[in-house]
Amino acid sequence: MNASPNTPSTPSEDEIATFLQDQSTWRGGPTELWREALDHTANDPVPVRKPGIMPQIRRVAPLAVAACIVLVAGTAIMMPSLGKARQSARQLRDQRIDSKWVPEDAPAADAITYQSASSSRLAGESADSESRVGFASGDAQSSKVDQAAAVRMVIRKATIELTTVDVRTAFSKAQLLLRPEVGEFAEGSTLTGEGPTARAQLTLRVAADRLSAVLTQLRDLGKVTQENSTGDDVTTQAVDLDARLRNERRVETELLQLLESRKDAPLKEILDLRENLSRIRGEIEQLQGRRDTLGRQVSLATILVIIQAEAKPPEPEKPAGASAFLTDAGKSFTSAFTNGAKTLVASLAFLAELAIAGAFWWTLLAIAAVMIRRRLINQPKVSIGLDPTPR
Amino acid sequence: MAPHAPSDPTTDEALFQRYRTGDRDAFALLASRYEQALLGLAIGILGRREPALDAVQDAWVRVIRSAHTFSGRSTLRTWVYRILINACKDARSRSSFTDVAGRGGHSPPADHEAAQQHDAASELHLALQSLDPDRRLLLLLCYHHNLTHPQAAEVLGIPLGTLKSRLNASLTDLRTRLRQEASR
Repeated sequence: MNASPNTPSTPSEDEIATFLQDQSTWRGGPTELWREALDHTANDPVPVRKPGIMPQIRRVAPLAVAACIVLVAGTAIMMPSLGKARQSARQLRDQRIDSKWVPEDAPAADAITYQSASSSRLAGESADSESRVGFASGDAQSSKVDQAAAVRMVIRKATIELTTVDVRTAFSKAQLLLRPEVGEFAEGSTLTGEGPTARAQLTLRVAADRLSAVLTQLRDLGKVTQENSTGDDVTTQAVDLDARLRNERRVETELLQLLESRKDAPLKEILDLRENLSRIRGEIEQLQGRRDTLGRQVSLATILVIIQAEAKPPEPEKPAGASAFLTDAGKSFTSAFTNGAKTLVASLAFLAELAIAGAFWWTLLAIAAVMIRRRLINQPKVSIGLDPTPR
Repeated sequence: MAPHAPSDPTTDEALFQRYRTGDRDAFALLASRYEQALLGLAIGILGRREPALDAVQDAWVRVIRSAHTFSGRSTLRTWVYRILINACKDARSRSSFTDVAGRGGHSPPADHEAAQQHDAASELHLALQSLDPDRRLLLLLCYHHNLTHPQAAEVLGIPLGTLKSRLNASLTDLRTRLRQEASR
């Protein structure tokens, strides 16, 4: 220490360091405290490290949290699809209850499946319901045919006229509504004119069960000026064709049996039989063709779409000056407020949906978060990331 | 009192592992490396000889009983020092006392210069004892010859930068108290 005898002064850095080192230096003699500790613990049971449940939870917790997040996200993403699927399944179930029958013993070649919809449903929103009815050959099923007649076969047609500002875009969008993979196609399409004189016309053939859905989508393409739909009931024709087909096939079978049993008959008779057989088969082919055409007409509905350019309304005279500015500002403000409110409501609805649908997973996440938080809080500061220090 | 020479092929962790498999000699070698340093720190924290001896023995008991919990996430040195610090805290909480003498190092001054040095050391000692316990512990750890600053930071469970800033604050506090002592 360099302080003068009478003047107190603070010690230097080195003096403090030396002092502090000196403070934590053992001046006593050699000791063997560890030996006493060993003797003291000699009779202790051999400690075995138990893994405990916390390390396992710590190992699994991140995976569990990740799985919860994935499940919640998956649920949120799939929810709309699940809703649609549920709705479709419900409709299908209702329709099956309405359906009369499907012949179990109908030969595969003869069983023709058609889409049909009751005329009462044609105009309604539930027109895209589906029922499958088989028409089979054989006398034994004549009673079933009577039942089948009760399920109407209807060729559906609809016409929709639209006006829109952008005819070309609406024309393209209308074509994109078709699903070629299920046999839908555009029977014809024309697009003429430009700008205010533009006009488009399409004839769409869509699956009968999608008629309502496609019409709904078409309505979104512009302003509907006219719309009508018709249904041509061809049940009688179908039943008649089926009856004639069955009859011709029966005759064909009889001729074949006759030909088989009269192998030793004169050649002229055999040739006559063959000629009759050939004629019968030709008629069967014709009837079958007509029946198939009828089936296709029933299964694919026809939509005539006419799109015309929308006549722009004459622009109202704008008031000049400050009043014009105030009017515009007011409109903009009102529009912004309305849009904002709509967005807010939609967001809240989405959040509510998400919260309710994922309630289970949110609960799990909350429990995991609380556990992690408690663990972090209870962890002693001195032991963060280190070995546990015994107390 | 270095824990072990660089040429020593046996590390602390290896010795400890050997002890865990039943080799008491390995523990003897390990403990003899540490015991003097631990006693020095304990007496620095507690200020008196007897409690320091008890605290170190208590620390060894804890080390032995908790040997199975050491998994090597920290070094053995910092683990043992943390155990000692906890043992010292427990000892201090069991009986509150102040250090007046008992270190056995304060003999009466022989001449004027020695007396002056003795006075200065006493002032430092008083200033150190008047510090907040956490600051005192930090100063003792940082100036303990068996520990580097990174090791002291690990013992306290704080980042090195935090340790340095706290060390600076503690030294400033110590000097302030020394000036106050000197001005009386």
